Amino acid sequence: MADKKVHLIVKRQEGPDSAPYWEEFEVPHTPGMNVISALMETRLNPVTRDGKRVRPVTWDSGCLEEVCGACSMLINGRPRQSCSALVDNLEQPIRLEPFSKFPVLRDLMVDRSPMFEALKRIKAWVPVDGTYAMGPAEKIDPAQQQEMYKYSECMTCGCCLEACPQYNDSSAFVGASAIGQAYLFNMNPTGKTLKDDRLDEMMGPGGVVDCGNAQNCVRVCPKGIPLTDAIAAIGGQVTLHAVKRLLRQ
Amino acid sequence: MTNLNYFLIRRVHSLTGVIPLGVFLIGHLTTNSMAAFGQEAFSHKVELIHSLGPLLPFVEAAMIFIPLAIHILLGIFIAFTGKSNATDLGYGRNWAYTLQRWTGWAALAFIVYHTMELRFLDEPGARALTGSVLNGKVLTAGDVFFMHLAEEFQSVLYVLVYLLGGFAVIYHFANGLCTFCMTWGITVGARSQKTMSWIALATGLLLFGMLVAAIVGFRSAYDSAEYEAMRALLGGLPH
Ligand code: HEM
Ligand code: SF4
Ligand code: SF4
Ligand code: FES
Repeated sequence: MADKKVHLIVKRQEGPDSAPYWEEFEVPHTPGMNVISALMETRLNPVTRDGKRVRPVTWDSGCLEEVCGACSMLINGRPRQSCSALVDNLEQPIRLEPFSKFPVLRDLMVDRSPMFEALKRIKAWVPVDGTYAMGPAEKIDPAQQQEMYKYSECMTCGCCLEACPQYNDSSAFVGASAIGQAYLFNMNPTGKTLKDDRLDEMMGPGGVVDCGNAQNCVRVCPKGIPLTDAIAAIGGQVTLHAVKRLLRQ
Repeated sequence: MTNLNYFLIRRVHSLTGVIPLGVFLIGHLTTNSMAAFGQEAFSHKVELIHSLGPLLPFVEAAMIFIPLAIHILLGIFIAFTGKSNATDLGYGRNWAYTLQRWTGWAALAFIVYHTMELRFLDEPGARALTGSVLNGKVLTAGDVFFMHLAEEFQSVLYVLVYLLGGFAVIYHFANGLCTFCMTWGITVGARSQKTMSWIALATGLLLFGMLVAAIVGFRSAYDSAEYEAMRALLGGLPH
């Protein structure tokens, strides 16, 4: 079907401080196309539906196979990756918006560095750097490896934060992904050495206590990470940690 | 504020919702559902509470007013840190989250009205009438309250206010039980959280049943002649 068309409605924004506006495009349909290939058509021929020539649309992408998270945006109101969103599975017109919880850089591209800051805040790493060889790492039980694997799939895409009612301007909440990572690194035999630091952060403003248990995060996570298990588990860890802090201060 | 203090404040909010407020709610509805078994049963329960005598205000303060004030103040602060999006992402638990906030506000309005009316305006009157004799019977505070409420619940509006206000409080408590178990890391997996929501639903239905039983009990026991006699004899309750 050569004349089949795809109808896109794109929320556009010149730069971080400019006002957003909407533009509509109609691009040729190709079999198996995804939202990114539809967007590429608008770049090839940046003409709106009513024939106006406009600045080409900007978006972010990397892996094109749903492992980097860069191409995340709101597609028909749902936070998801545009590389794995197949046009044929979407209702038309397809409405594309940048994430609303992150600063917009241009059009569909946002600045997700707050997520990186959150990972730094909870020390989401295994401390192995030193001035001398630290020897071989401790072995990890296969069952534990399985449990850890699920959380290691997080690609910092931000869908869980976009969907979270507690992640917004009036809250310091770090969001589900950082809690999942705190849980992951607390399970690692070497990563565990920073457990107290992580739980200190999780107790404070923005920590796990700011979660409202709406559980949207686990619904929208493209990697199916059991975030709410991590939230409840960290909630339990933090309780014991606080008792320890109270008794030892 | 230190992280530990912030944590403690959040946990105090969570804990007060269940202990003592939730425990009080269950006790309160149990007492009132006695109205379904008639004036005797209800007055008997009320007498039991009043037998605390001079201790009662302290028990009330410790069990209700202080924890309620703490929970409400923190609850309002917490409610303002959230931006509900249930209309965009209409998942069940997202609606539960949103309703938890709405029913918090509704419960606040209802509780203020309910305590102002019955505890602070009517209670002193009821106590003043205690010991008076009506139709050869010595009245207890419970008797006066029973007759008063039987009269009040004749109004359909009054019934509606109690059904809606009661629903808000009960939903808020029942859903709060689920989130409480998540917050404290008691129900960690999705399965156990699901099981907990069935338990909470059963608890909520039971409590709502008690509320309905109380309302039906009061409403059906109304004896206009007796009430008028009380009003004529003693001036009724100050309204
Ligand atoms: C009869 C009165 C009340 C009872 C029994 C009650 C009970 C509860 C319970 C058990 C929770 C769950 C705690 C948790 O998730 O860890 C809760 C949460 C909450 N309550 Fe109440 N509550 C009452 C009144 C109120 C009022 C008047 C407000 C004020 C607006 C309020 C605001 C909230 C909020 C915002 C939450 C969510 C907290 C969070 O997500 O961390 N509550 N309540
Ligand atoms: S459970 Fe709800 S409030 Fe908590 S992180 Fe997930 S989406 Fe946010
Ligand atoms: S937890 Fe899931 S939704 Fe959140 S950032 Fe990681 S991959 Fe994305
Ligand atoms: S481009 Fe990497 S997830 Fe879509």
